[in-house]
Amino acid sequence: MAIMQFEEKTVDSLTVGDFALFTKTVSETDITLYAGISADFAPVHMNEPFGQGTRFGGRVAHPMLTGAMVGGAIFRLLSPGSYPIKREFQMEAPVYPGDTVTIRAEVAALDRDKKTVSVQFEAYNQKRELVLCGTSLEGMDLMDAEINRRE
Amino acid sequence: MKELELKEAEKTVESIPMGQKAYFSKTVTEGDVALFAGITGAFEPLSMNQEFAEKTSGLSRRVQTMLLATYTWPVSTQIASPGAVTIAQESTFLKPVKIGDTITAVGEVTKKILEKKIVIVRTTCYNQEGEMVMDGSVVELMRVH
Repeated sequence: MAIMQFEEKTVDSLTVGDFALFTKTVSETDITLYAGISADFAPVHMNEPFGQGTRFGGRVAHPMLTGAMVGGAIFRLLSPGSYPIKREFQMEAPVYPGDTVTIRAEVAALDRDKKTVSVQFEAYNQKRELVLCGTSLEGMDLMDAEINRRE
Repeated sequence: MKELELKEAEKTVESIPMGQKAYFSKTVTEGDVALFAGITGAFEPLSMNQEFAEKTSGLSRRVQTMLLATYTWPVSTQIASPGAVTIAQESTFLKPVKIGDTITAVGEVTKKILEKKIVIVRTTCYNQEGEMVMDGSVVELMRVH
């Protein structure tokens, strides 16, 4: 058997209030690559003159790009034993290319019977303004899978 | 002489018909998964570690769920852009998607709130076998200025 070590994170090893952070500057490259993999070429993200004509005063990053960075924080909080069941978020303020976004993901509730974790997350920019908030329901029974027990 | 039109007309909550649909299909490749991990920091071992994925789920590496949620964007953009800003999104993940699967995202306008200039698009994703792998919705605010 190959050597593979993972810190065992389970619904029992977590406590309400545990949190993880993930910070990253949202670069021009991120936006270009993100448009390429998502096929979202909406002008508010990709067309500078159009962006300048909007109330944002310039192009803004795709909301889903910031929304997806939540995965960076939840990964640090729960991985490797978790998988998302349901995620929802809402945008509070725009993220501009070059902004540095910090995601904070916190364990809000634990269901030890169903082996699920409710995670509450927020994203802040470098001015500490809230740009996004939401919740995620994560399954934590991955490591109990039948195939895992057979090992 | 007529001036050359190079600017797409902006859409409004009134101009988008209820029930309007949009489709987007894409094969999810290895490259998508690697780029997505680099952009978002989501290095979930289920997506990035073949050994781990096989041991825990019996499946090969799966696509990050949020990459799947990403495919709802091109359909909501087709329906509402230009002229829209996305303000909220939710998705429920029903089945794992493997690298190499072909995903079809379907968007449908299910609700309009005229006074708030809001359009709600139900977004679903299907794999090549026609199984629904994701169900959710996107809230578009039809006000960019």
